[in-house]
Amino acid sequence: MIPLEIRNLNVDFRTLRGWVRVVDNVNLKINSDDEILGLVGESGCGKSTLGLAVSGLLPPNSRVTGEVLVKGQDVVQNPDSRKIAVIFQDALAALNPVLTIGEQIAEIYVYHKNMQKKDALEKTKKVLVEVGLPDNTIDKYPHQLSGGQRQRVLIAMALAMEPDLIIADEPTTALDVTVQAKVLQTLMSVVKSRKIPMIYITHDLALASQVADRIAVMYAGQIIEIADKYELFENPRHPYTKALLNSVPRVDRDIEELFIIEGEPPVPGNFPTGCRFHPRCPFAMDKCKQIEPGLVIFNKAMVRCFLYE
Amino acid sequence: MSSNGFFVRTINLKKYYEIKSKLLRKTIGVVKAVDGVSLEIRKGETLGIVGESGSGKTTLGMVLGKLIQPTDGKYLFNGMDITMEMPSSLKGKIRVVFQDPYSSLNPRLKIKDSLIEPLLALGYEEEEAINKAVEYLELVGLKKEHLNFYPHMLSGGQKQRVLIARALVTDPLLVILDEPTSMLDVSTQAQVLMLLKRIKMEKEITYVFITHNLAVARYISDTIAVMFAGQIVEMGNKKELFENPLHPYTKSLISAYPPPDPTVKWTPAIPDELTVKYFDDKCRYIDRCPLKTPKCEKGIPELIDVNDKHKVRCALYT
Repeated sequence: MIPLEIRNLNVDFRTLRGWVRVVDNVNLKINSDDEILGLVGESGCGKSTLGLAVSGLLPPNSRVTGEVLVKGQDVVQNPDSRKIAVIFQDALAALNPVLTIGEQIAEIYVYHKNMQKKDALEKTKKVLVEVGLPDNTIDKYPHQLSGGQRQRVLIAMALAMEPDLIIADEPTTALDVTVQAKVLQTLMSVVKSRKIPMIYITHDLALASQVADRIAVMYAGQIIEIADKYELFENPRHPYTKALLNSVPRVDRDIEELFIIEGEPPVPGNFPTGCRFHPRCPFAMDKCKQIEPGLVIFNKAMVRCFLYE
Repeated sequence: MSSNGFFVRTINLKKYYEIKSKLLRKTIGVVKAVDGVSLEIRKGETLGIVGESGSGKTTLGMVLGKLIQPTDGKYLFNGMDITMEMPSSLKGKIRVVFQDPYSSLNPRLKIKDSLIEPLLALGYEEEEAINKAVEYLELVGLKKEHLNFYPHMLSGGQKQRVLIARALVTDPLLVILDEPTSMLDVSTQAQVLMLLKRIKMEKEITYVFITHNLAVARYISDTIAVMFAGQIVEMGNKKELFENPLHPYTKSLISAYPPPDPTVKWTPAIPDELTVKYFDDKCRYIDRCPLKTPKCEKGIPELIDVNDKHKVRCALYT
């Protein structure tokens, strides 16, 4: 069974100026249980909103249409059937400051798995060890842990639920690079060994190239390219993807000139007509200004651009 | 002590903060945020300072930017000792740009007023100041119309450009840039980095660029200093430093960066223990170091010259 299939997903927010579309007609699939799908884009592109829509955590002033099938079950229609865990960036905000780590994780086993408290605490110790923390972490409060340890606690909580899908939204962005490297290695190895499919949301293409198996690039609320990661890096097709790859300084080589994408990403409610990237695109043609391109399908990739029609 | 022909030189610069007990306000400890930093920068050169949070890089930037007084050491600027006092001839010649473009501009002031304020403080007439503000606004890629904007009307990238213009408007000789692009998106970051490089060429400004991002440091800097626990552990010409890193900390830092290429396997070599201790009797990196020897227990190693472009503070090379 396909672990995740998103069909024609739209997300709108009610604002003072009426409904504003933030995620527009997204179609995505995770094909196997050990696949990690990277979702990459700049701020405001809708990547976090898409994650929240899938996990059902959007605020009440929003509207979701379309289908999100997790193991064949539509979780938009049946929110109660949803078994999706989310790992957020800010662990200090995600954890309860007045409960010990043990109480917070054991709670998941008690409520979701109907376990006795004592068994739940035993399971909690095990899952903490699995994410690389000492088992005495159960007696600690969040403020007693370092940023990297807190992020590991969030990973443990996600695992405790035994979810059908994990959504990791910039899980290491607030950490130092050395800590980030270690936490990500742990995250990758636990989801792969437990065979939990994952959506990995990040603004960092280099991280996505190492963590994900396939990568979807978002721009202005739409998926503009989706490809196997090797294909995406070897043969990027969309001008935005190419620009993103060449606008980042590299640690492994000297670069004289960075590629510059002129202007700034558009904000929801103000997306350009036609292709949403056309005002910044060096290859824009007349029709790009008026007609919205569809997704063109290749062997290992799909791209939303008239250059390939 | 002379500046030895260097434009900026610091000798054993220290900034300590005392920790006071809550009850009796007695000193119960000292944080050695910057602990004996000696560095040299040539005119027109960019020095990148890298390190993780808590390494002291921002505090060093504040000392170099003359925003705080050092506890000890010397700070020589263009041959003058400015450790304690700034001569009035240097007013406006050292400027700082901070990380957060969202909190660095007064939301109630128009861009015009934010830009001319430093000039008025230097005794410029308002009209002259406005002309200069326009000149610099255009230099950073904004337009005259932006003078009448309020900060909330600008995007993050535009705000950062205004902050750069505000720092440059007094014609500084040295600009301290503290993580100026870390809150920006990659496409905006590229624009700002290219802008900073172009301005440096045009105006012959010397930069100190503080960042936690090694890739950004490699792009913008000529020389890079790696800080750990308040000290410089390695410093060198960027080519040397990246192609032949010597200090175990520098090596582990470089390995922590994922190669932006899925065909290259990412093999971060990161020690398990990531705490920072400010030892005075042994190498401060000793707890994390995979290569430690008994020698490392015998005092903090000196920062020694490996060659004329490369220095390292590590007992392995003494």
